[in-house]
Amino acid sequence: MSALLSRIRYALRSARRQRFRTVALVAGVALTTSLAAAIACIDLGVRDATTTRAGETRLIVYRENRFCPFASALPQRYDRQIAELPGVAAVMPVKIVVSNCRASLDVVTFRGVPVDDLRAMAPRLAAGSIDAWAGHGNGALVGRELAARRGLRVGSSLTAAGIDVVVDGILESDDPQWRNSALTHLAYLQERAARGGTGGIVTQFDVTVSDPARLEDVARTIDERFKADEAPTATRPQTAFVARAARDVVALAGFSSIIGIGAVLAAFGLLATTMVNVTRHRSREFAVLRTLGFTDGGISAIVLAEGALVGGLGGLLGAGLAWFGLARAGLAFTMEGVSITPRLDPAIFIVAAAVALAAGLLATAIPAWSASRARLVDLLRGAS
Amino acid sequence: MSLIECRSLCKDYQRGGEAVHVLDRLDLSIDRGSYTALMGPSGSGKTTLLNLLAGIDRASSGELLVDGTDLAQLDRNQLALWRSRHVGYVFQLYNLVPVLSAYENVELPLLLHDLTAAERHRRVVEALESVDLATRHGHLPRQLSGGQEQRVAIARALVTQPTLLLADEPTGDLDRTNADAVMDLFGRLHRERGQTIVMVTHDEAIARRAERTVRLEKGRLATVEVAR
Repeated sequence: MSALLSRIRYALRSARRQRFRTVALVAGVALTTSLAAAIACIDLGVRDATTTRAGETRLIVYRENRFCPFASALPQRYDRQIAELPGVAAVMPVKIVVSNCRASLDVVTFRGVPVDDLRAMAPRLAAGSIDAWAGHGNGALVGRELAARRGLRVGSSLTAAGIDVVVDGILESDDPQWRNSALTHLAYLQERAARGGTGGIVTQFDVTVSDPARLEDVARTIDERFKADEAPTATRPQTAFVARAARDVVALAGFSSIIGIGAVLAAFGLLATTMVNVTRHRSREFAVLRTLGFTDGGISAIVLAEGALVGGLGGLLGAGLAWFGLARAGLAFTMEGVSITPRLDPAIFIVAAAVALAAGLLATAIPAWSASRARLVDLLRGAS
Repeated sequence: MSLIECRSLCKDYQRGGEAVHVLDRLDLSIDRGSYTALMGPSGSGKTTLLNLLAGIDRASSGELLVDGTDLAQLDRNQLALWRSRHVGYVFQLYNLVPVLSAYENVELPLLLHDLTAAERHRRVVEALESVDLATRHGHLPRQLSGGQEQRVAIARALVTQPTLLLADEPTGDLDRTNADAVMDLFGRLHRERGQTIVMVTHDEAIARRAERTVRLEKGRLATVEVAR
């Protein structure tokens, strides 16, 4: 054990003295790890938002053949008719106004909802109160991630897309749509968005079904009910709706995953090449160490320890950087009024750091082996 | 009493499909506590013999016993362990690890020994004092002169208190003043500690500092001269 520790200590000393090389390698691994972890978090967020799960109970009723909140207009009176349909547990009319309809990282999404419906859902608030919001016509409950992006606190004002609100509370939610929205009174948003015309019009209905097994049946029943009406509907499970509305973001996330994998492989290749060159450059040093009595395993341990140091430290820094960056940035990809946020799963960061450590070891495995196997007399001939 | 016994020692290389006999049935004994200079023209087998004595290379045939150990019977790792216990090696070009300080270079071989940190420290300080470099602990090799670098290399070779100190042209890269200083150091080690020293040199004046000069020619023992 003490022999192994002494080799690790030698590797640490060597790494410390070759500061520039070590820092450059650790920084390269850290940046690659943070990139890979961030992409994995985004990918997980996309899956969360777009993969239909057993037990899903939420349907989104939208205007047929419309994909943008500006274009989807449904009569608010539909809510009563939907509520009467079999299998429907709750209906909430929602008016949506966005600052930007295209894909963007900083879209403000206003969701106008009836006060009573929101109270019935008993939302979790990180700050402020729902009563203050209920009594405040232009009040808003702002989702945690939107608040973080815009630096909003209770009492702050928010203006976007021609809508002015005052923050009455910061909303916590498991639903990324809510974490990235400002919830306002439905009537206020209808009035502000209509600009003197179309009160009683909503963008969508959020429908909760009583039995997840009947999700598709209820969706078909709703669309059937309004098929011949003035505003035919298209009803989908929420995840399918998000996947449809944010298809460009989903495609972008898929593309970024490919780029991320490519970047990780390229960085690994560079790390491996650098370690091979560094080891070759140090053949004289290793010849001297072997002359002093270091065994083949001892030389391998030194090279591997340096690889582990670079990979491990770079992995930890990179995972930390990704965690800190994503948590601080409150990143949300928003398109057509729906938001997809990265999921900061601790397992991703642990795996990313472990993969970086393994990559460091793997990148040095061949140099370590060749450094230990070269004939000492040949190395010394080259060294003298 | 002999520390080293070479019997019919041969070392062959293949060069361009042809066998080259670098050492050809060499018989040689070197006593414990002796100071021997190995001389001979280029290609006579001096460095090859030194490498065989150090366990850096293996003989093609014959027998080589060092302190009773038949080196041919040891595998690579056993040979490495044996080197760490019994051999101190001084190179012509010093070969200090450039990123380590003088202290750390001298400490290197002790990392292979089961010693406490305090004992390691005591031995490194003592070794650096013995080569008059007590004030240069923290200096990197590039901050030292050639003579100082070689003295650090000698301290590194001595710090494990080896049975055998081997030196391959230790003054070959030094000016006369520094060469004399290194030779004075070798002489002192031999006289005061009874250190067994085998040194390869091309320089007659340096060889005269040793007790005995062994001359090789074409891989064979040519003459053995004992200093008066």
